[in-house]
Amino acid sequence: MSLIYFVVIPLLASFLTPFYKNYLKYISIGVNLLLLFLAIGFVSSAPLVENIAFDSALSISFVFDEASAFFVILFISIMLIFSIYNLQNENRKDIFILSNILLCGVLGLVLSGDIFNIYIFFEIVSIVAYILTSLNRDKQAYSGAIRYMIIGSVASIFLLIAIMSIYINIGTLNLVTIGERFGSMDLNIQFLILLSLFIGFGIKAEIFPLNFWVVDIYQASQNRVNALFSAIISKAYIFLFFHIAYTLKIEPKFLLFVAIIGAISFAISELSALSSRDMKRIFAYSTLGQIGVLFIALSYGNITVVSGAIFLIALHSITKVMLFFALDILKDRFNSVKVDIFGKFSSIFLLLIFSIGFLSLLGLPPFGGFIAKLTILKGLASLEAYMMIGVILIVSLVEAVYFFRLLALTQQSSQKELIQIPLLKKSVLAFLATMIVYFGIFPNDLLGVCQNVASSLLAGAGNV
Amino acid sequence: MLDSFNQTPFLHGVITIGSFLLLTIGLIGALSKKNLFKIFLSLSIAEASLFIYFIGMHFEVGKVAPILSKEVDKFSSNMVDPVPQAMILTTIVIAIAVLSLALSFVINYFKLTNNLRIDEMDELGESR
Repeated sequence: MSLIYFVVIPLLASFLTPFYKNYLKYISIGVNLLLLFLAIGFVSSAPLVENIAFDSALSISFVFDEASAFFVILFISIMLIFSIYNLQNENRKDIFILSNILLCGVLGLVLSGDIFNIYIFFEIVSIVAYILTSLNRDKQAYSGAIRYMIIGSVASIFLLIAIMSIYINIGTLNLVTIGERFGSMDLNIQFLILLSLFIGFGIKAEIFPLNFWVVDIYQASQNRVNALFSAIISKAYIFLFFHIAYTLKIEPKFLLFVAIIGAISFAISELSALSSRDMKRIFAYSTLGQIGVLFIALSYGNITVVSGAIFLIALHSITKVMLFFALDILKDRFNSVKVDIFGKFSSIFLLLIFSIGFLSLLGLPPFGGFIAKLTILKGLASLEAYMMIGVILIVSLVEAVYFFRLLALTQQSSQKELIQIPLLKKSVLAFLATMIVYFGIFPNDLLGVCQNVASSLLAGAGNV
Repeated sequence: MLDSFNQTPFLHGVITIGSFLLLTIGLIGALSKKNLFKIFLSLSIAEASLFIYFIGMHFEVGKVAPILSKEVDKFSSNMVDPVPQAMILTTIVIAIAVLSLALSFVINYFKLTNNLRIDEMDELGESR
């Protein structure tokens, strides 16, 4: 068995499936299940390095350590849930082709052990994301896709600058070797490379001040697609950002700068969400806020804080997928995503889903988000980073204002419409909600995994 | 006197300055132009400057291209580093794919709205 299957199987599936158009969805689910079994089978043999081609300095290498294993399994599971959710969606078959290529791209991003391959997968993921944005084929969709392409091209230019500077100065593309030799470079060039990497990955990881475009893109694309953007693409880039940061062993003062930027990102996003009247935009702002928390937590380099952040990544992915799917059901019924649709529907089930999602995002017990935020705050307290704790707690209050305002809207006594949810979608949503509650009540298994992942992430690419 | 122009450091200097100018032209164009076609054109100019820089910095006077020929029959020291060329070849293909996708989006957008100016794209944003 080889690690290259994680890239090849979804790619092959997406290129072969146009010939089997009617079985596309089943092939997709089959591929996702196969990859999931493969990934779980590989976990016991981690850490694992595989070099494809002749010489380790120039070859294509894939690294499967605890950190990348966690993200591989997370992404495949979310893609499986996405495929099952779309099983009844007969009218758009091309979404399965795109989701398979997207899976190939993100798995490659997470597994790649050399920086030029990261660039290639970066572009694959970007191209698929552009097409996914334009999936509605109306003027909003194209407008969003064009904006996304402009900002994405700028990101790829800066990433190329970083890669070229690294190759010209160190003469290698392998992440481990780069990590060994990075400290011996001229300080100015180090700074140039770090700045280019920050701009290149920062745009894609949706961090302030490079995230001005994100909310428009979320508004332009379908809700189902937003679930992928929020749960898979941004998480892959956050992983890469810190994977490379810890591999290069950059100085703590730069990481503190990243943490401060994360705090600003969290505050500005949650404050912007207050004035928004569009559900997609509110969820997008909430995603940006959570990404701010992740940047705060991941840049402290402490194992407790980082394991809390990994827990938050898993929980936030599950929660946002659930919320965007639930919003998708409302959008199908009312053909609108304004906040006033919250006063119009009458469905205990959807109300429960939204409540669980909002309360978990806020970090209230007994939901999974509580454990994540508690772990992060405990770790920050042990580091005596009281400013950050204050920021997280105060801004969470702002978050509470708009989430509870949305929940209050559902209690308005206006004309209510009963919503029928297909059984398949209902069971997917119920499964996701159960996961959130389960991880809130029995967090210890996942927390143990998260600690291994955190220590593997902190050790960088050179730990194998 | 002309010999000094044919030295590796001089050529590297020319390539560095030239590609930096080209990068600046591209980025300024992307920021200042309002027409969508011109923006994507500027971005591809900026990308092309990086290709020129990367290939140019690995060019050395007296060395040959890393292609099998009479002079180069094995992995030897009288050829230039092949890795940048392979990398840039891949990157050019990606850049073309991205540019063609972008242009197709622009054309479709123009068909729907009859608008090519980025400052008049007001479909997205907070609804009033």
